[in-house]
Amino acid sequence: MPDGGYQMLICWLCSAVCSLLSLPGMLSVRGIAKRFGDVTALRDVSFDVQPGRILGFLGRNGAGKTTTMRSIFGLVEPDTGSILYNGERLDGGMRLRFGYMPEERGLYPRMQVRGQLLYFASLSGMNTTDATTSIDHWLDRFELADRASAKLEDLSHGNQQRIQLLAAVIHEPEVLVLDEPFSGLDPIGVESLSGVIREFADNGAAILFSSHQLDLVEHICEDVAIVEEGTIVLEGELAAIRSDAPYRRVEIEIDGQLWQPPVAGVHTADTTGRAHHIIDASVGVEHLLELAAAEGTISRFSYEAPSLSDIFQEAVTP
Amino acid sequence: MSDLLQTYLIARREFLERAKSRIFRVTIVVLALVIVGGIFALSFLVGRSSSASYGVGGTSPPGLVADINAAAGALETEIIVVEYTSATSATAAVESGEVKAALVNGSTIVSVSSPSGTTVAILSSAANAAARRQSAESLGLDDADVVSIVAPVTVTVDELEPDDPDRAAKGVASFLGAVVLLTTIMMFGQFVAMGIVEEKQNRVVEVVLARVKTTSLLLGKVLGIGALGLVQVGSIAIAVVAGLVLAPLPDLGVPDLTKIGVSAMVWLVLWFILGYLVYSFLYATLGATISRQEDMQSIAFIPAMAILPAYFLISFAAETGSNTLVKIASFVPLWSPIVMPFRLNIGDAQLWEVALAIVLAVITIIVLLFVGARVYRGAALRSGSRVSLLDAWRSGSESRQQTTDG
Repeated sequence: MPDGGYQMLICWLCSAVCSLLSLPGMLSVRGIAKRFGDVTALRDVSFDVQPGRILGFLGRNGAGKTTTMRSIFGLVEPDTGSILYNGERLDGGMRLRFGYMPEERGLYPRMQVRGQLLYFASLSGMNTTDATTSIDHWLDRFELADRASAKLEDLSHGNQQRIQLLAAVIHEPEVLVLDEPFSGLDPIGVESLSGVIREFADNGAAILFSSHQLDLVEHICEDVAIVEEGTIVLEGELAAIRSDAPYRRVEIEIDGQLWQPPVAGVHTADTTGRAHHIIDASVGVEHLLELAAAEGTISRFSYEAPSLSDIFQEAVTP
Repeated sequence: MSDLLQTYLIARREFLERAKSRIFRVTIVVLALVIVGGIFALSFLVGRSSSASYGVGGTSPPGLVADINAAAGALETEIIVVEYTSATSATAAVESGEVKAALVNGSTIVSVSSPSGTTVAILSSAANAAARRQSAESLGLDDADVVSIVAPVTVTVDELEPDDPDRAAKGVASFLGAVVLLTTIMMFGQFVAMGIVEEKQNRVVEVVLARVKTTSLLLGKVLGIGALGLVQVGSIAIAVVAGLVLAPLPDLGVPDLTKIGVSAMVWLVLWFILGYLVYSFLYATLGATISRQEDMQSIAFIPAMAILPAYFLISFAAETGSNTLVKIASFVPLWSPIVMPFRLNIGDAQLWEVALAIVLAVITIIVLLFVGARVYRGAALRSGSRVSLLDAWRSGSESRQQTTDG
């Protein structure tokens, strides 16, 4: 049997075991495309969300992030392509083990917090006992236990956001899809939400979230996928993407003066707000240090792979 | 997790959240009290005005009062005869409304305005009889002989298609029943549209639809609100039956008013269910195309216009009786829930006609469910200005089966 055959067999066995044990598995979006009348929302979107990992889904407004996420939940039916979970075509039953927080936030304003969460948990197939345990746990965690019988509309904006997140995670989903979860949150809220996301990933959930806050994505995500005009233009592990980039940003000061390293292809840039140089990634740090040391006293030396922001800019600029 | 269970959960939420409202509870209690009270009040009013009273005054031939009673008896009319000492006091009694009319001096009928045919018939035949007897006596003849000469035969009337003596009363009662049906159907139908718009407006619909199918959400909403409507209509029906059982009803010659009331109420509940389902899916379909409560008016008039012909037809038929147009309308599913129970109540409908109308309504309901679910699917996540029905219909065409059956 050729190598490919073994790989396929192992893959198949893994997915079979995963689905039998109902373990969190991999969410795979495979070449989905969607048109709304004359508008092409998605041309070709493919990526994988691995269990236990967080994927940052990036793209400009209107690039197709929300349409992709809605496709995962059957809210939009792709014209072509498929979405798989553990290698199987996604169905309504599997989706109940997913959690979704749409970009457009919304709950029932006049319903009590506990009743509301219980409703969503039971719609997801959770029994009342488990749901109650989960609700108590999460309300405690967010210090909202005393507001359990309050109407949602009587809660502060921040607390309403927390309940919105709880509505998505109350049934302890295996796949968590969050559309712009950080928008409108204060720094404390961002911190607490990213803690929750990390926790779910650590427990094995596959997490997909979209955001425009690139520094935040860089901080939380292991993987990224960038969508532009309905097509995935970049996908992979963030660290690898950064180190694979063909250039490095360097900022070297000799005796307090910015120094331009004498290497081929060097040029100045100030896109980060500070004047610095861009050099080819093939130039090693040691070589650069040697050159600089020979020039004088090094007062500053920074050598960095491009940031996610750089990578994003390059990916979406034609 | 079956679709059915989810549908039940949605229906339960719709029902319980709305049933919590104080206005709903108060409405039910007040309405029931008004109905029972109304039946009591009516029974007293009807009881009092059931017999007419006539006055007699001035110089009258002997035995006139007995003659009036006999004449009324011949016409199967219950009356009371009041004797006055003079023609003046009898006339005054007519003027004050104490009596309906008076026979003064044995030959003049006094009435405020033109007397009814029955009044004229009773009083004139009594006046003639009394005068005839007096003349016969003065001529020394036997009254029976005189009668055999002046009125040798008693003309009887044989009605081939007798008028229902209670037609007017039945018409009014059936009309009231139809109005109750119409208002509750429209009210709870509109609740469905409002519920759909509310969920679109506060965006919760996307959170829900990530978990359930559009059809389940639509059906759950319609059934939950419908159950609430059933509580309302059921309490009206129970109040009517309770009123009929408890109130001291006058004997109107109807075999068993309570029995008739119970069957009318059973029909009321059944036709509410059918009518509500037809209109709630119509309201849901239209409600799905808008996303703001402010736009409700732009769609709410459509079902209102649709049901209007039924209202006009029965309001005419309540006075003039059924006609061909009413019969046709009683099969049209948009109108049958109002018109068919009306025909049933005035005693105009055959059982097979009712069965046919029910079958047609059920078919329409099933079609409207599928149309509504498709339009809802196409428009549920579209906010902003109104989505055209055709547009929503087209976008709703993508079958979710492909991925949901998996």
